[in-house]
Amino acid sequence: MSVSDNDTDRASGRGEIVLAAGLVGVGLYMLLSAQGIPVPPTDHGPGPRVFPYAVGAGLALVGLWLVVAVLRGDRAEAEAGEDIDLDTGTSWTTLGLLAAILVGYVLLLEPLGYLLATILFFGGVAWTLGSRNWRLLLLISIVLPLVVFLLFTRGLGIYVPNGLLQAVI
Amino acid sequence: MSTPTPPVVVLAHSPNQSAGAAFEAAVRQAGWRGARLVILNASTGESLVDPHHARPSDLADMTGRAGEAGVDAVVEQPIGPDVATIILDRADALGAELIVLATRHRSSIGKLIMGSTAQRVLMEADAEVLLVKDTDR
Amino acid sequence: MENFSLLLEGFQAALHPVYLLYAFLGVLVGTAVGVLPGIGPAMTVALLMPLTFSLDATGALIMFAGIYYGGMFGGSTTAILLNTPGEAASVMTAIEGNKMAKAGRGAAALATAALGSFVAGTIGTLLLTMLAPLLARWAIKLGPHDYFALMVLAFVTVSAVLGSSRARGLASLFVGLAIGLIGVDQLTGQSRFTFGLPHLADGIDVVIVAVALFAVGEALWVAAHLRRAPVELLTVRGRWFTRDDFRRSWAPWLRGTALGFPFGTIPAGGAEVPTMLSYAAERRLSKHKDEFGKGAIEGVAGPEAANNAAAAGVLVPLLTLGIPTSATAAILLVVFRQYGLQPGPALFANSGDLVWALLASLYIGNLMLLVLNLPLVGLWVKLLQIPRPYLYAGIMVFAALGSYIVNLSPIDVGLLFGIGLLGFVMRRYGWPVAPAIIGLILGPIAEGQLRRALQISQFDLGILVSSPFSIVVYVACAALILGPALAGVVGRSRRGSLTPAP
Repeated sequence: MSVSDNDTDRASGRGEIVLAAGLVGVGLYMLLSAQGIPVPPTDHGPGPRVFPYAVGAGLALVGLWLVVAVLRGDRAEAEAGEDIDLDTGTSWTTLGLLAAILVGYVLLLEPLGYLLATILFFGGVAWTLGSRNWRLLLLISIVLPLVVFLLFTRGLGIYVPNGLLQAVI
Repeated sequence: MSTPTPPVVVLAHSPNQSAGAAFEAAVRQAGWRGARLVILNASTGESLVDPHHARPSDLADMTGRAGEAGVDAVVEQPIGPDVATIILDRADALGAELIVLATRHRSSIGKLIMGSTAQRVLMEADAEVLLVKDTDR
Repeated sequence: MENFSLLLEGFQAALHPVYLLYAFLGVLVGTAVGVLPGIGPAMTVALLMPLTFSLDATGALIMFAGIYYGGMFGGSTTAILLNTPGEAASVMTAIEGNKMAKAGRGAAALATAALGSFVAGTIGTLLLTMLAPLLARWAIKLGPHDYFALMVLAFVTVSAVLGSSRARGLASLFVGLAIGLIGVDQLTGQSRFTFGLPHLADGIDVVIVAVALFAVGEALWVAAHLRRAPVELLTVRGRWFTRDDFRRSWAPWLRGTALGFPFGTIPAGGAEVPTMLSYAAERRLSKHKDEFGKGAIEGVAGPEAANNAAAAGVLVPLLTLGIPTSATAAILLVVFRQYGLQPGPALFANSGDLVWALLASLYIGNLMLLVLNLPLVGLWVKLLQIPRPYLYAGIMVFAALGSYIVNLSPIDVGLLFGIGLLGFVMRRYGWPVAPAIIGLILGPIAEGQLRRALQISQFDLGILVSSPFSIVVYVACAALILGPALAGVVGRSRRGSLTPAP
């Protein structure tokens, strides 16, 4: 909750143009690479290429439409919600930290096992979102993943690999 | 230190606790000292609905009652991750003479997890500190 | 009469203690999660999917019926007691409900919402029970080209008609369609857009994409824009329900039901439109016009009934045609497919027991909601006090777990987060998420139907408009696309500028 940009980027539409141009790029890529999808000689229908062509063309056209629309000043309202304050702008620090935690979680999930990785993950996310009561943070970060883990493995009988702690719990 | 401004009494207000008794004590203290009363309703802003965050109507009622007792009261509702720090910082900035806090009985588990705002303010504040016990129950 | 006895059999199955327990848990958890700030019904259903992985199909669907209705109801509770409505369908409830709560009539507002939901839900389920088998019997005659037409209609309505920006709706739809193409082509076995990665051969699991776009995208979006000052929670005060309240509520309940159910059955995005229409109707018909805007009970009763009747109506095309008409229904469709069930006319023939047990449990769930919710309002309100760091961290943990246990692969969790970031960006630029989900889920089905149709006709495109039904559907599509455009032109010339819908 520190830096906010007051969304000058949203107002200028630069970000959305990049996004829409990305759609055009993906659409063109689909059009080109759909030619490479092999068509088995036994196929008597329109084959596996037709839909990719259609979707690729659609993506490219809609992307172009959006680029033009945004350049001409068309802006949509960002999504509102009961727990959202759009006036303060986007906190990129929060988002960046969260992204780093997400990547870390994906990388650590297998080596550490579900329980340990999730404890770190939960604690990290909660801390990033502003929880500063250390004792409470520590307690919940351990108890909640543990309860979820036990609920799924013992309660619902679903196997969840537990890496380092496999032998313990 | 010859400032003509009146001294300041800070009331750390939280609607859940023995707020009534603390409020009355703060008004009495401010009256005796001829001080301005700053009602500080700090909350962490952690939950969408925070029981520590006082309703505007209740706060207006408090300033009204202080006014009837001849005490000039203002309300502040700062938000930050740690309530004790906010109280200490604001009291410092206002040059408060006295900080009034309510305490309540807590279970041992509650003590372990929650820490104590009152304890930190008591230990670290430069001003005098008045703790008011829960007398309602 | 035949349906009646089938329904009784359904009740026999659904009243089994274990299934009753599932229904109860579904209603309870659905309401609780629906109450939580920032979580709408679609996200509720998406998030809670992993809870049912170990249940049998009937049990899982019964639980989801409860979650579905519970999530709807949870939204209205917060709409009345907070100043900020959660989802579009509760906006109308919030207008009058909030004013009522402020005026000390919060209890009556909650009561009329709960009773209205019950009345509308029950009537809606009754209509569903009567209509669905008829429709299924008729739908069995539809050919692949008819289905393709229906799906085009669903694509058109969800992306171009609803929402404020057509270009953005279509962009979202095509993103979903493109993600749906990844994987092995089901008809020829050729892999498409898998980038040579074996992990992508089966495509990206729909559960992962749905949870990513709804839950992770939303959690990230909220995290980056946390409201800092707490909002004021209105207390539940006043008499629960007086005779006068009832006299003023019953007609709006019935009118709301009459509006909501048909709107749910057509692809018009679920409950948003009928709740607005119901509010407008009550406002015009009320004998207490002066109270509107200050807390008129009719303004809560009507829209709430419309909301729940639409929730039941949505199940008609979902069960009989396999066509979801709202984002929540799209996720329910995913639940069916998890169990290898394909909703559609064949569902009634092949899995009749299951469908009737599901329908029966809808009645039971509705009754449970009524019994549970009023006494538990205090508990639901407590949920709003959960500190947000823990709430959103919990959502992330649950979302990650749900995608992890599908294949026990961290790559899936990575995909979840990656697509979640896409969901964040879409929210930032006001791209609706629902079209992407509908495109993702219906895209592959639409492709299959199109190719089957063209295979039958040996590439004659004429087959697509060969039946009266498909022609009617395409005409409807054209009307939906051109209608608002024409109205827009007329409105613009009359008023100078168009005011965007809220």
